[in-house]
Amino acid sequence: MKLKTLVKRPAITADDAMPIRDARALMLRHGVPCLPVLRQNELVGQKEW
Amino acid sequence: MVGGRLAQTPIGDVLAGGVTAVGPRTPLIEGIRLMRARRLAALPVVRGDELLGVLTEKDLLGLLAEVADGSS
Repeated sequence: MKLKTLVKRPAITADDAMPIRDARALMLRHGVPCLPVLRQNELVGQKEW
Repeated sequence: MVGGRLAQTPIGDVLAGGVTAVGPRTPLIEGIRLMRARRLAALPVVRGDELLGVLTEKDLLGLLAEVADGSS
């Protein structure tokens, strides 16, 4: 089984300029354990809480 | 509770170095092994620079439930 059959779209993401407070609120609102961080639509990292 | 100046800091400023991600054709078992090795709760799936989605522990639990039910 390949990963592409399981991943959900769209992923909840944050722009790298988003304040930590807002990013945390976004994660809580959507109930996600990890927040991919994008810079100009390129994945530059992820944050987990 | 995060407050004060830290709360307003851009999240891009507090990222640890490096990105752990896999491609969409990566076998599931490799993704699971990577999540365990790096202690990740979620694993981004990318194609080039494009984020396709995120595989989470919740997704894996759902798959396990389907397998246990015999529906997968």
